[in-house]
Amino acid sequence: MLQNHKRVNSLYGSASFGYREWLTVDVTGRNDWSSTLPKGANSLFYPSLGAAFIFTDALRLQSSWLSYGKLRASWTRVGNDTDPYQLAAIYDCNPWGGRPSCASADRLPNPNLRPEQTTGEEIGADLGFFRDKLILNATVYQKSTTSQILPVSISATTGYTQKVVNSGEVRNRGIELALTTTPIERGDFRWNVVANWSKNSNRVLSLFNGVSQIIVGSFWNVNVTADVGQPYGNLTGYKWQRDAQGHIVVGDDGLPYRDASQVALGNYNPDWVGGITNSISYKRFNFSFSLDGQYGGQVYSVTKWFGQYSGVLANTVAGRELDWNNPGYIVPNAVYSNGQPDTTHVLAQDYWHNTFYAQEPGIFDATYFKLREARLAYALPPSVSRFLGFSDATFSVVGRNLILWAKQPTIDPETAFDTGNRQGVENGQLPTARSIGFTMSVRP
Amino acid sequence: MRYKILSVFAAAAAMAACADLTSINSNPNGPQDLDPPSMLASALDAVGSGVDGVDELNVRGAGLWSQYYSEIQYRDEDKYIMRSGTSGGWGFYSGALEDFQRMIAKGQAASHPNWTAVGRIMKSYTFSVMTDAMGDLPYSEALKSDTTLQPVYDTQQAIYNGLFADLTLATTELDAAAAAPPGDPVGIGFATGDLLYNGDMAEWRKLANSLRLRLAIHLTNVDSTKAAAEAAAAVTGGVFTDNADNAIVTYLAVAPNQNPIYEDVHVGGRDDYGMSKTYVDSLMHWSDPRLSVFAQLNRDTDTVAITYRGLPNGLNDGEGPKLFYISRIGALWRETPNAPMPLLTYSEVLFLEAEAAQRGWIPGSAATFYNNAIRASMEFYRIPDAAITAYLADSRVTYVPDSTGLKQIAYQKWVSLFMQGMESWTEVRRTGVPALVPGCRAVMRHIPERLPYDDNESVLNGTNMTAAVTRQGFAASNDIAKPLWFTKRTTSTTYPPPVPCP
Repeated sequence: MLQNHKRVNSLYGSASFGYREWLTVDVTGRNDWSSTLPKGANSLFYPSLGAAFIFTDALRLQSSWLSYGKLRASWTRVGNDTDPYQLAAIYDCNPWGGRPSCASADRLPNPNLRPEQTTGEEIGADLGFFRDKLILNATVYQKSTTSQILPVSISATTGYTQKVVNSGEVRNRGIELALTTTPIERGDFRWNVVANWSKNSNRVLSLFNGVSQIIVGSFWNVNVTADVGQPYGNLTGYKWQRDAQGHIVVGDDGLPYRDASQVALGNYNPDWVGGITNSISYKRFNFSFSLDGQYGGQVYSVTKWFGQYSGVLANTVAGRELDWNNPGYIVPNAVYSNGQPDTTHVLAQDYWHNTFYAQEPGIFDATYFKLREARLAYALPPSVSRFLGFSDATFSVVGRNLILWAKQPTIDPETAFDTGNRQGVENGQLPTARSIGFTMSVRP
Repeated sequence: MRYKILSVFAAAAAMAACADLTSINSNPNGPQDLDPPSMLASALDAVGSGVDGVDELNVRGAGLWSQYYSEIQYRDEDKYIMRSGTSGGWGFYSGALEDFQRMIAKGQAASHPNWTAVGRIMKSYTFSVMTDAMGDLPYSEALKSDTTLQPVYDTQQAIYNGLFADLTLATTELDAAAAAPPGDPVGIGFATGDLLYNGDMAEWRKLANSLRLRLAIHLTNVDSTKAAAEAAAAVTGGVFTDNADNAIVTYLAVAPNQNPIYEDVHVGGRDDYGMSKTYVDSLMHWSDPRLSVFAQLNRDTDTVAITYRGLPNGLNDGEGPKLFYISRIGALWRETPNAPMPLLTYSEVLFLEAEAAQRGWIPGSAATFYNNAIRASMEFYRIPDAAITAYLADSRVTYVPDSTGLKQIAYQKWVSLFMQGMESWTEVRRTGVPALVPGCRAVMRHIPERLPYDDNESVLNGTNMTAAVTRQGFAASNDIAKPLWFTKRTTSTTYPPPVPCP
């Protein structure tokens, strides 16, 4: 059983000041000393400052349309240590018979690590309109992480495959919007809408030692990389070689060539994510449904890449509809290296096995939307509830994960393959289970 | 009151133990430092499993291309389609090579010349396999993580020069150790970790010289002067003289130290490889008594049809005989966990001496070396003496001097290097013997000339790798068609597909 020990000693202080009922200021300060960082660099101080100003109260601005208005602003700094034992490596010992047998580590430790630091600024507003029938929350933020502690891949020719480094700076900027509204409320009828939408864009501003690309995670020959000047989280691998007109170049054997070097094939960050929940009540009935999803971003699907390799996906049928080996398959829109159009029949099996060379055939658009939940509820009349011995009782039919609409078929791109740096990779994930059930909730 | 203090809060957590923070971060899960005797076993295991294992250097690459084995499922490499993530032993850099490099440095720091010498010999062995597989490689600047994260690639010629120099230096270091006074720990070294020789430094000296002889003969085509000089010096220095000298990693009966061929089948649950028709038919044609060691009978349900039968290389999945008609790799390895995995044997040394003698580089009779080489191989596999004598009496086996003799040496060496696919493939590329015809469905009409560099080098050490790829005239880092420097060839002999193709 591996042991993992870490201790953080902390001093923490906070103060909150109010002026009348419409201005509050919060100040916090914290100092940590972490066992995971080297002596002399193990102290992390992180302060924060925040203020909220209810301008509708302060300036007496309430009106028939503006019922509430608050402005928020904050500045925070958060320090971060790392996992235990990153400063020195140990040998991995597995006795050979009775003999000691130990191998050196593959991760090059770093005795000079510094804490990583994230500094963030945000401003926002909470606004209520039409006697709070419409509530809007909006936040704009910027966060900058410096000296991020990362195990990065290095050339194995050094004797190690990874090195722990303090990397450069990654910046996140974004906007978050939330809207709560009741468009109709008339008699027994009420319609509520809660919607949220957010967009985050990040950029790697610098790495370490003048390096312009680092590999932060790998799986089945695709690399998750950080590239200077680009968003964090590129999915990097080999493409097919193409000519100037974009035709795939094949060899004399009719199989595509792989490019000489790896390029960014996509990025796992979505352009935006959003969701909306509608709730409609009439008398004792309530119907609600939630939709959410993401637009943009890519996923590297090992499921599909391997399914193509092994010929179990529908798109691999071409060329073997009649016979296992005949008539074969001509790579569409391809040319030989001399520029002449490709006319060579290759076996479907060879074509798809050859895709093992490259990662391009495993990259897909990760856009999806889901009907996450729909619920129809009926509150039993009080007389019935009381008869059953409850103060009230509600009966409902609930369906979850009812519809998945994804830009590519076959897989659910909402993958949870890895919780670490290796995001944007899908591997043999079971589809989200659709469930339909009944619930009865009661209050005694 | 207009102003109010809503809250003030302060806390200190766990201040008491402040003083001892640093010691908490000392990893209790293993040693931070070790002496080489505790590292050698693990590194030798890695070399044995890497060079003679199921990956690219033996079963799923080099040995497939020497047509010892064939892929009975997932027939990619057998058709010369390489999967991503394959290379000619790149994993050695961060595995065994890093450990050998540490043994060299620790031996120097602690004045234990034996540690240094053994580190050098095994580092040279490992690098020689890798350069024979891939060509130019990071060598002089490799394994220097403290200073160089992106090492340059040395030419194969420079690497060979380095290997000869290191092997020579290692024998000198062993001499210095031997001269230490009796009872001095300097003279002892490695008893605990030495899976090859249990700390017998005289055997390590023979291994250094035998490896030097092997590498000398590799250069026969490209630099015969150097080859002759190194071969003569190696033999003078003292090479293997008995099967007891063989460099062999003998695996254990119990997990996790079982031989890699057995592990693949009985632990991993795989059954992807069978015997090649080329090799089985060849041994049957020559009535070679080793066939029953190297291969197993097939499992034909018709008992009179049970025989040794190989699968033609390079067919599509599903083509050729059904899986139970195909012989698997011999029970000595596939069904026996504690099997010997040879790194360099007396039999091979005799073949090398036969060639050196035939070329006039060392004294002695080529015919005698050749006959003894065949005998040593058969004796190692416990073939009865009568069967050996009968085989040697076959007129096709009888040595004919000069150019025929060189072909006979190459052919018999190919037969006897079974399970050492890497060395066999190197010699096939050097000698052209036997003339191996690619399978029907192979996507290239000659056997592969090299294994790819690691895929991630283009990202992690791109400038240096690209320079090496350009310098050697490769189309890309995973070009497997271009002959390497040691072969002296610039083109490969191509063969039309066998007729009929299934």
